[in-house]
Amino acid sequence: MYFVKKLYLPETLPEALKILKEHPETTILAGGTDVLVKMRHKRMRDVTLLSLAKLPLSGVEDKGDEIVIGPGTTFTALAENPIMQTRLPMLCTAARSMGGPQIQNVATIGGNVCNGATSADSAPSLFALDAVLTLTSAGGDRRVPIREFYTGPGRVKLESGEMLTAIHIPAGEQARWGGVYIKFSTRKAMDIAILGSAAVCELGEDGRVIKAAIAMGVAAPTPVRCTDAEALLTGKTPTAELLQEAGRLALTACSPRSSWRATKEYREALIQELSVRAFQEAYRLAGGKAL
Amino acid sequence: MKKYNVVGKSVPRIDAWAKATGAAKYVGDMQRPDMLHAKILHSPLAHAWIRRIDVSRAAALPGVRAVITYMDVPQIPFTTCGHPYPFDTPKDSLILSRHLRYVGDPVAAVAADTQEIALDALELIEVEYEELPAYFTIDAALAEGAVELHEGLKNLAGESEFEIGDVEGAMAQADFIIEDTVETPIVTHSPIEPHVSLVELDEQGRLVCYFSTQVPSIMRERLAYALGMRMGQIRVVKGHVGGGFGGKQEPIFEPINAVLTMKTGKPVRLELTREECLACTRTRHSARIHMRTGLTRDGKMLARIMDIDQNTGAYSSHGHNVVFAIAMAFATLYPTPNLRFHGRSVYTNIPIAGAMRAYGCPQYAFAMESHVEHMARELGIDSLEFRRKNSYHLGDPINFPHVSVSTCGLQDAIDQCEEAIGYQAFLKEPRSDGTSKRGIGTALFSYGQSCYPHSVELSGARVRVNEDATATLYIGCAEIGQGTDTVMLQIAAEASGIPLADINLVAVDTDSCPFDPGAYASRQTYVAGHAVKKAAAACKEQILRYAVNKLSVNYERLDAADGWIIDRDTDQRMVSLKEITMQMYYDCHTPVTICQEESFAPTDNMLTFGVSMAIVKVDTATGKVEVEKLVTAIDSGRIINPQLAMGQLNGGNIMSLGYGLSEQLLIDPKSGRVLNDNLLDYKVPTFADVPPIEGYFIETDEPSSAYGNKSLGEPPNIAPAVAVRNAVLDATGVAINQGPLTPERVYLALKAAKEQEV
Repeated sequence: MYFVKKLYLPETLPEALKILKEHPETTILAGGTDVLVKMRHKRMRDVTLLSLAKLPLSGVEDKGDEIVIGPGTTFTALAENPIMQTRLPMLCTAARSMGGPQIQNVATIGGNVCNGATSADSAPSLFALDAVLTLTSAGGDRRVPIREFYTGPGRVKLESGEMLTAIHIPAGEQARWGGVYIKFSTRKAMDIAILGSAAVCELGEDGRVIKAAIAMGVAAPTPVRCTDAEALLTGKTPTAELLQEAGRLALTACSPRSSWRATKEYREALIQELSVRAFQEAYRLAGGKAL
Repeated sequence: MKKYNVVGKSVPRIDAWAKATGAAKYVGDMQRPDMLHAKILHSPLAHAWIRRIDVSRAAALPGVRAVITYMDVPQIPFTTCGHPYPFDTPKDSLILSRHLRYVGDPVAAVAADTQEIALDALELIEVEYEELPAYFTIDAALAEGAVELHEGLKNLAGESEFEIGDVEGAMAQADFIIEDTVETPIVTHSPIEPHVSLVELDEQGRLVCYFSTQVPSIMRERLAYALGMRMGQIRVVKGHVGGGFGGKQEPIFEPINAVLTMKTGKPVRLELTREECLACTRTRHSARIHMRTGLTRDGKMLARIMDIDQNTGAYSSHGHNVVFAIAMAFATLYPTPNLRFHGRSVYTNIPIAGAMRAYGCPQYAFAMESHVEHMARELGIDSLEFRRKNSYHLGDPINFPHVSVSTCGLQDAIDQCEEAIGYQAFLKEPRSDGTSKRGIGTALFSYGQSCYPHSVELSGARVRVNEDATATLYIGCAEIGQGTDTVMLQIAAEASGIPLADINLVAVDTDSCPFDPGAYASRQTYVAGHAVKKAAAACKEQILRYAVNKLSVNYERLDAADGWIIDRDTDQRMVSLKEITMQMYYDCHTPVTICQEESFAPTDNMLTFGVSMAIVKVDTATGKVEVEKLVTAIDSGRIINPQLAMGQLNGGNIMSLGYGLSEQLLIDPKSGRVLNDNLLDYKVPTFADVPPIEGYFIETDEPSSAYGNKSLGEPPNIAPAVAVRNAVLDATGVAINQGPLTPERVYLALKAAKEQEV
């Protein structure tokens, strides 16, 4: 059922980059939870695969001003990582919301990002956290903010011969900071998000919002940041009315479509409601009062 | 109630160890050295005629051993419906046909050395289709001038009606008339094990078929008919089955596999993919159910009318028999002197609806219990009180032929649920917390014990006692995961006096096991259980009668239990069974084998009753429904194995929650293709979604059954879905008359209701 032409199993990064350069048609295989499904459905066949299994690409590192996540880190490893649990629990929530335990044991955060799906469970949080990606080719590294990485459904800014080698998350002051991911799906496990909503809130000493970030998955062809809503909230002390207005403004960044999975009308309602719920909870975690 | 030694105990499943360790081999695990793999080419069109088909390129692919089309199979029309003889739905199916009637209908099949080669070969088959008009809805298929899917049938797979009393007269007398229309979704069985078969020829050239099936005997009969063969030329063997839920109660593509085996002379395995299981096997009928009930001011039902149209898909399969089952439920649970029922089963170009756990009753109950809730609310009577007042009480008349009730624990079940869920306390609790609203809902059900009188229900069983008083039980009924093998052994042990651990089981091999139509209609413990009891008791009698001479006591004083002959007067052990049985086999003068076969066929149908209650929390901003607690109480008569019974209750309840909240097979309105033919988009609940479930059995002692038992496999799958629907109504005041209650459907319904208020 799986038609594989050739499988590369490089053990070093330079070796992998060389293969990618020489065989640009190669498909990178991380956890395989997307690629193997596509192969089984014959949407990909007679493929040349480059497996990341032997490359040192997993792990989480706390570098003080930023946290660096290896793209080969599985969702289970991510969720169980002590640095993640204390510094970025919202990504642990996202990791545990994805698929089921078997999927989480093999699926990687890098694969989740590079697959380019707007429904990727890690994406809204990475957007809200202003993650930056290191893309590496035989010619060297470049850094791309994740907000510029997604270009369309299933499409990302990965050039031929390039691969994702690091995910950087700026991690500043942790006091008066809160981050939340809400996955909205029919089931509690083994499901795809009807909508994903992530929010980050940082408060000043006076209790005003100094940073508001709201990101949505499945609200547009790519994950998006709700910048109008963020601008409204920044510099203010949230009230119930302000949040309602922010929910309405969250829609300006979104362009949900109707599909048999959900109608536009319903997704719009969810965007308004869940953007507010996520931000409200992030605000509470940052030390703001419950609204 | 009489006490038993083995019956009524939570004996561990006899297959538990093998299944838990992986020692149990399913058909998909079986290997043969020269085994071929089969794959099917399915129709990409909802309705088409094969103008031309060329398989030459596929057949020429190295590794391909056979390619078959309609030209290579007998064109003998049959029905796949897995009921006992005679055929009770239209003979509208062929093994392979030139006329394709839904997206997924088999066009051709390949047997090859590997699955990969078989898949490649499918792509080399060239087909020219002539597209025909396709209909996906009941209304489209019945519209004036619609093309017939099956010649001469006017797109009706069945139609029936009955009237009891004077419905119009009673309606004219009624103080209230309540009317509702409810629509139910298409859902599918989704057993863990896909449909799979391995077919080979024995050295005499007979077909040996290893099927994952619920109905081994009927599979053989249907296969013989469709292939134009004698039944003796076919042997069907059933081993472990990973669930069926009705989807394996008929041949699906097994006859194709038999043809491939005969063509190649080699063993062929055909294992469907999950996508095929979802889109091309069988489903539960979707239905549109219209109800009208006339009531007195104090809430007594005077007359009820039900009109049901169900979408049966491209072939009849179980088709209209499902409507007959609904009619029985309609007539019995709420005794009403005046009844009118009309039902139609409509052919359309969508996947085939067949049998599915509780056979029509989940559809029926979703409609009827929504309707009953409407009545109670309209009349301002408490939901439980209204149901108590109108539902069946022992002694009430039964308005349906060949149904009778001698035990009824329904009212006790209602009391049990009311108390366990804390109904009265809940009514006083605050319901609303911002966008979150809570509610409580109830639903009742009744269910039969078999298909009698619609079908003859015959089960055989044979017990062979060995020289040393160990034994073998041969049965034709089908363990498919529900636990019947264990239960049948308990019954055999109880009735024979031979310890359960000393009895082996052979089930099912049509060469050696007695006839039994199989696992459906929750019939096996009721029907086959009787046959097992009779055969085991006959062995015991044979042994005891022989022992009379040896022990010089009256036969009436003797009994057997746990491997010993017992003196009934003193309850003392007299002699071990094996001492007697060895003498029987080696008696110098009158040696005799100990082997008894018995059968049983009911001549009446009894009713099982029950109730489910649910507490839900509705997130009114998103439409998400969370079930906080589900309580179910069932009168299934005496429980033979409490642990297995609770497994059935829990499993059925979970399945019903999926029906109520998340499962629906979606058909593309343009192409007729199944949109969600995978388990990501077809949303069977995961264990994380299962709320706390409390189950209770109200044990009555049904005199017509082997040990006081009544049906149990399907009943738990009826009420929870609509109990949840009624709880959502209680929470929000909004009646949603279409299932399932997905977040979006609930959200849109609440929004529409709000807009109507303004």
